[in-house]
Amino acid sequence: MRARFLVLWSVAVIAAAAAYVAHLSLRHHTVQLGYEVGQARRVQRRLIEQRRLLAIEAATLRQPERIETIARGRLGMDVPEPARVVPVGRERSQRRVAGRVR
Amino acid sequence: MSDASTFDPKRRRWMRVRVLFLAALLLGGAGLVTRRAWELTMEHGPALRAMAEDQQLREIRLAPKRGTIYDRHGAELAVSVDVESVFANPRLMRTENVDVARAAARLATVLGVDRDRIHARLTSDRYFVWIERQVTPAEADAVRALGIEGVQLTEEARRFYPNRELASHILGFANIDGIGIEGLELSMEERLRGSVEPVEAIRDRRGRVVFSDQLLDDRAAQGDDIYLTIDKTIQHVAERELALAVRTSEAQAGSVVVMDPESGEILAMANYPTFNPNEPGHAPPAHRRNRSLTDRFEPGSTIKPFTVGAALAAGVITPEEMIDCGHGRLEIGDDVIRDTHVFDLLTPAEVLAHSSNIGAARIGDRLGRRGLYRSLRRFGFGEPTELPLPGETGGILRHHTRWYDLDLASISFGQGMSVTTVQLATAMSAVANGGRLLTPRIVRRIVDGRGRTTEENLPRVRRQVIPTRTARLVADMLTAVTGDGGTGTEAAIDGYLVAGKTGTAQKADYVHGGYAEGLYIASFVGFVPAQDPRLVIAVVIDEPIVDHYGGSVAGPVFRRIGEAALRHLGVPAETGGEALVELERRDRERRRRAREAGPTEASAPVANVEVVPERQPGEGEVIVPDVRGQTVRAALLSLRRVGLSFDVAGTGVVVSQSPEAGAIARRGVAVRILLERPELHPAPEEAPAPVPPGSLAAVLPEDDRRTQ
Repeated sequence: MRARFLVLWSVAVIAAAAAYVAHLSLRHHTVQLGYEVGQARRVQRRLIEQRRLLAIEAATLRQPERIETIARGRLGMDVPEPARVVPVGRERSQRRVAGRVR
Repeated sequence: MSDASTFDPKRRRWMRVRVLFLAALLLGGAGLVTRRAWELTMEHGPALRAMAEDQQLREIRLAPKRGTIYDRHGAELAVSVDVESVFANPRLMRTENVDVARAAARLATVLGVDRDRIHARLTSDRYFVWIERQVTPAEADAVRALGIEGVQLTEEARRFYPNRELASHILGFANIDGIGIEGLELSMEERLRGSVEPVEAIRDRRGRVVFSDQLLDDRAAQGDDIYLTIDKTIQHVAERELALAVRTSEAQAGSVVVMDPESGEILAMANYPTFNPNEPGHAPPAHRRNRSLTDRFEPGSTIKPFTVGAALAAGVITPEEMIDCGHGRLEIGDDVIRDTHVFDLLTPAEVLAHSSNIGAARIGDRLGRRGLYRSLRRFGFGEPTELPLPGETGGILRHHTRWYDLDLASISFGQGMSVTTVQLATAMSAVANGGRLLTPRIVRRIVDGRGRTTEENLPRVRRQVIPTRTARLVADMLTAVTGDGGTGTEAAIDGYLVAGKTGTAQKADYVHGGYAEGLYIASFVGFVPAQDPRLVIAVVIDEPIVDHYGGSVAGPVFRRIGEAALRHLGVPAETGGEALVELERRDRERRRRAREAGPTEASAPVANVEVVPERQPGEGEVIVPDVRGQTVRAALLSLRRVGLSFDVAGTGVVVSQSPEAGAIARRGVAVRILLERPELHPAPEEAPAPVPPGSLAAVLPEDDRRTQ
């Protein structure tokens, strides 16, 4: 009777201690994950900011004024006269107008 | 082993007393613990729980990122980025015995700012002072490398405009604290700024944030992104051409509005002088004004299409009717109205084409004061257009009950009232789109931080101003303005039919009354292509000196912007491609002459070939088939079929062969075939007409020009 009581008591104590250790371990793991999430989030924010900076740089490079300067100056390009443009598959307006096309 | 039963009874009693005492002690202790637990959980529980949460949870205030402004195609026009700012804690520096004079000198060197100013700040009695805000990454690294106690860096959002001056008057600018000061940055401040959201997160003993669900998604606090109706390319062209025109005509200022008449979307809104919103302080306030909205001017003759349209709609004139233009002179009371050129009788179309003031006054007279006033109000004059930009004026159109005798006549041709460039473009859009007055739009849609569209602006028709047929009639009449003999020939665009109206108005003299001598507003407003309008362009040049006529000052600006914008939008010209057709014709001619000039490799005689059509082919001989005009595949099949080999030169279709068709050749002989590209534009039957000088010659390459 006494021996049985001791066994049950020991089991209860061990179970309680194990549960406490498990709780502490999970708690520690949660905190650790929290730090890792925070770290990943900082990296994410930095990357988003970096992307934003790159987008600005790209937008700066795509400035119409810059493109035009390079196209005309460096590449020797020019705007085609209407006479040099061949419309393909165009749909002409059906409306007649009184004026004249110059 | 002892047994309790063997104990002395006295000792047994004492033992029981001790056990009972111990049990009572334990029971009392347990009771106390239970009592304390009750107190903590039930009586003080909520207060203690709140205290614990207060210690563990940390409220973080997320600084929202200001929304981005895009053009209609998603090109960034205004963006916020995080940059670092330098601050100091002078109290801490004093406590740590930092040499402030030396620190100020080092910081001044690194940041390139005034040393005395930094020194004054570092010696203040405060816990926080800015040293320099929004420094470059290199400067931030340099400050960090100095490692001065009490000097730190923090991140701040900075507004950046990657296209510099482009659309600066529309965008406005935000100050160093990220608060909108002008333009859309000001008027859309609520949407762009976003909200400061407090977020709770668990913190550890050191105060570090451990985790927060809410922190994972802080996009809710971000400002909204705004997509404009502006087209960056058209905006650039408008700004470039306007600046050129203002400088060459030595004018004071100018503005241009480009609008899609079917949707009311503003594709470009340019003003000159301009400013760089990245450095707004470098430009005087006058340069930052959005003149398209804030400046009103007398429209002059550009108002005439609306007078004529209203009269046609009211049925007080007919398109064929001859209007008496009084031989260039019209007396109203003591005042005399004159035309630049003398006319007697003009149709309404001719009144517009020759811009006759007397003709317009006569037409306005038919409408009457009330009729003219109401018509112009219906076209949107005298009230703001409701664009979401600050500082818009509605122009001036006094109520007809307060008009003087001369006002009916003068307002008919655009004097005695004032309008803005946006109003003019909006009213002309109504003529272009069949009589519907649309609310002009500059914001296309608004998107929140999570990418959801929260607001979408769709075309809104305010009213039908004039019937569709009348609008088309006026549009047809306006094409005469840019035709031969019209006042706006400079605005005509090659390959497109342009409808528009010139305006040359004297500027009012607000000091002495009346009109200022020699000061004009030159304007042109029109649309293109006239038969299927895609663009309405209003150009206003303020005080041009070199020339002052709307047709010659504003007209060319309209033409150049129209040309580029139509090309950008892919609107096909009615004509076009003549230069390429001509080049192809010359290329064909050159090749033909080269073939005729002498034997080429392709036409050189081939061995084992006899050109005797009368003879029948003998054994081992075949008649060479005609493969000219065939594709290379078809030609090779034909030759193989009769047992001939082949030798190919060039690409395209067969233009010549050697031996010629019909010749007798031995089997296995190689037939040389010359291929050339097929003709995209077949040569006309008759000889082409000579190219008029100054047209195609200008666009042909140097080599071809020399052959002319």
